[in-house]
Amino acid sequence: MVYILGQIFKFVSLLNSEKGAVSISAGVALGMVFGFIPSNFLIIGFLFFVFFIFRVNAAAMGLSWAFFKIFAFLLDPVFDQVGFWLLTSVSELRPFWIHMYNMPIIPWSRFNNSIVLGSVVIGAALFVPCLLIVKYLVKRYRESVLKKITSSKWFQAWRSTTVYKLYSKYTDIREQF
Amino acid sequence: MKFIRWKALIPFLLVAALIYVFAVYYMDRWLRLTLMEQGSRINGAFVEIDSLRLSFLQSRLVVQGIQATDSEDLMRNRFEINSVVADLKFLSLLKKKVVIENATVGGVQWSTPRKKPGRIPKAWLSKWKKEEKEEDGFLAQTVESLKSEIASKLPDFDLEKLGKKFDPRNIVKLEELESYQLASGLPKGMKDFAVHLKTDGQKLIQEKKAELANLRRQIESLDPRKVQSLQDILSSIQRVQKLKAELEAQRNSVKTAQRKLFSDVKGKFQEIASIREKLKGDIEHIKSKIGFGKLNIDRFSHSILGLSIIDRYKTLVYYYEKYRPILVGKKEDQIVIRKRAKGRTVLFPITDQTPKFLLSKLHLSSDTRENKTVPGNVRGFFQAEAKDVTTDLELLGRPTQITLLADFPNGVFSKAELGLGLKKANGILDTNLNGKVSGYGLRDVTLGEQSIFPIPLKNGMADWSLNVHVRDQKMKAQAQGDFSGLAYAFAKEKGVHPLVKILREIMQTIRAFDVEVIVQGEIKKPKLAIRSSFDQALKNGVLSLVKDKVRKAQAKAEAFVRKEVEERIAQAQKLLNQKKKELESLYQAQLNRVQQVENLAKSKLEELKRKQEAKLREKIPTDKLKKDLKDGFKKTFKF
Repeated sequence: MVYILGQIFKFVSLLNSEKGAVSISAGVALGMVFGFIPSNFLIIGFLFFVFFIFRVNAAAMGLSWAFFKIFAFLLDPVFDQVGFWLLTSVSELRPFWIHMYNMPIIPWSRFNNSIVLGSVVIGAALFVPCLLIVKYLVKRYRESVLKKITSSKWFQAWRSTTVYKLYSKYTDIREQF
Repeated sequence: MKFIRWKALIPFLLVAALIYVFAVYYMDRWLRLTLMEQGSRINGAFVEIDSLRLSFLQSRLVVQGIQATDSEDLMRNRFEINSVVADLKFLSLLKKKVVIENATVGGVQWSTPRKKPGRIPKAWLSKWKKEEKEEDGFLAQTVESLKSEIASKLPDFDLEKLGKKFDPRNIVKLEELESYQLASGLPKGMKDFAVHLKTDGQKLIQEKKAELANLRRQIESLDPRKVQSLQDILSSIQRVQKLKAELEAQRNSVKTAQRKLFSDVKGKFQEIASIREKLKGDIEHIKSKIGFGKLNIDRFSHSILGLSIIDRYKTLVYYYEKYRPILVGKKEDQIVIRKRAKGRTVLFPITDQTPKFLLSKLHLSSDTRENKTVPGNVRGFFQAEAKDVTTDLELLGRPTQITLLADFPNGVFSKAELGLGLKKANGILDTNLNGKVSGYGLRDVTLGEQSIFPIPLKNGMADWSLNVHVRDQKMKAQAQGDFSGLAYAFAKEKGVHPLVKILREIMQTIRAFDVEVIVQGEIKKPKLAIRSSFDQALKNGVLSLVKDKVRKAQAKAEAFVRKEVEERIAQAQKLLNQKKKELESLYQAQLNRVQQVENLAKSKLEELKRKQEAKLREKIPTDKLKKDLKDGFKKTFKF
């Protein structure tokens, strides 16, 4: 719980900082893919690998995962239709699926399930647009909303408090280590 | 590469390793629960597994203490397996294929008692219900449909009806016997006939009596004193002659009526004689019904087993036709779509020669010799071997072979071997079933709880082999049996089922026979051929006993029918004779009366004649008439 709260605070501070816009947007986009895909240890494992290797904001990813998981349920019929179409109707892909089906490990991904394939394909297709949109929104947020907040009186008053100064000092020391 | 966190690779690998350890630790638990749940679903009652261990390093699965509850008796296990050890092919598992290279199933026990009732957890039931709504539920549906079809299609083995089918009293229905039916109707018929004779005879006699009285009156009214002239004389003579004619007519009509009545009685006698003729036909019918005559395999199976081989065969064909498409499976270039709780799964063709499921070798053993709860003839030592059991025979390219070996020290047969071979090429299924049974101790054969056919053997040898070959729609089934030097010993028991008694006596006469039954051709229109010395043995030995039984049954039935029919016939004959005598005396008396009236009429007429002549003589002057005639003659002939 402490870790989750810490991550959320980290996310808020990163969001409000001048850097890490790509990391946040990548986190949201990866969280979307996580949310779309039904639980499957092989695909989730791969996504975790991606998460660990690349600089992705964990809090953004976690929040995005939770958010898109709710929507994924509503989008299941769409995933089913897309996945089923790809698996059965596109004859050019048939040899590829057969090859995958007969490969080691790959069959455990349940790629031959219409919802799994549909969600992976849609998730992958929406990854880059989602990344770009979120990046743009973060930029817009920092330029307009954040500026307004930081220049507001109540925020100035908050910055002058001892609690904020102590917190600021704590974060500075933490960043140094 | 500022986007890549190289330092995170080590924590990731650590996390992955932790997840692997965690998964491996819980894999056994998950697999055990999954097997228990799916097993319970198929079994219809709780399936329990004591422990399960899957070792990836050794590629071995060890399952211990499997108990499958009997769905009809929750305090009893359908079977219990001590241990299952399966060597898996790890690389195939990566391809999501289950390839068992060697499996040993040991310590199988049947019908063992349970400590706790084997109810399926409610959570599973509700889960399955939900899944069945959403999924195809292929396996569950197949199992359910099989169960319900077996329950509805296969006839119950009703022991109660078994004896009745062979009981002559039930085989021959009295309603079928024409003579019995006619004889049964005889007493009433004869009674009615006697009443008819009596009433008709009495009516006739009354009529004739009245007519005779009238005639008598008319005859007596003929008074010679009333005759005055020649005209009166002539008319009197005419009346007398008319009365005489009428009398003759009456006499004839009485005789005709008598003849008619007698012919009616004769007809009845003929009717009785025809019942006797029909009795002969009925006795032939009894013989054909009770007697075995020619060996009718279907009727024989009906009589002995209470089941029709034809019905059994039809059921077999039904299931073959129904499940053949499943056995043949999909073609290589086809995909199969299965609906799942979430989405649809597409099964693609497999390109290598390893099917999705393959059991390369299985060895199963079961020792139920000491198990008292198992019905008698199932007790024994069983061993089964299976090779290349797979879901896709064609892909494997080798036939599936299943062999069952069984030793029955106290059972029906001393040794049994049964083999099944399944092969598929180009989508055509080739099935081969063969079996061999040797027997020394054919004793205490039981069916269910009740013993129906206990035939203890002193000594003897019985071997048989069965070979069924089905390819596509064509089949050839061949069964051969050699039973030599059989000798049976029976203790005389009271209250034994009549069928059992007959069977025992039959068995005692059989010493040796062999049999070959061949069924071949189109699966729906097979041709049956039986070559057997059993037929001869049946004729020589069995039939002699059966004939004796049949003869007794026939004699009993014949005596019964004869007695019933003859008694009725005798009664009818007696009644008829009595009535005939009565009628004869009655008509004789009536004829006498007619004779009397006739005599009276004759005497009256004679008397009348005499008196008329005398009167005429008195009135006519004869001498003068003579003289006148003489004178007249002389004058006339004077020359």
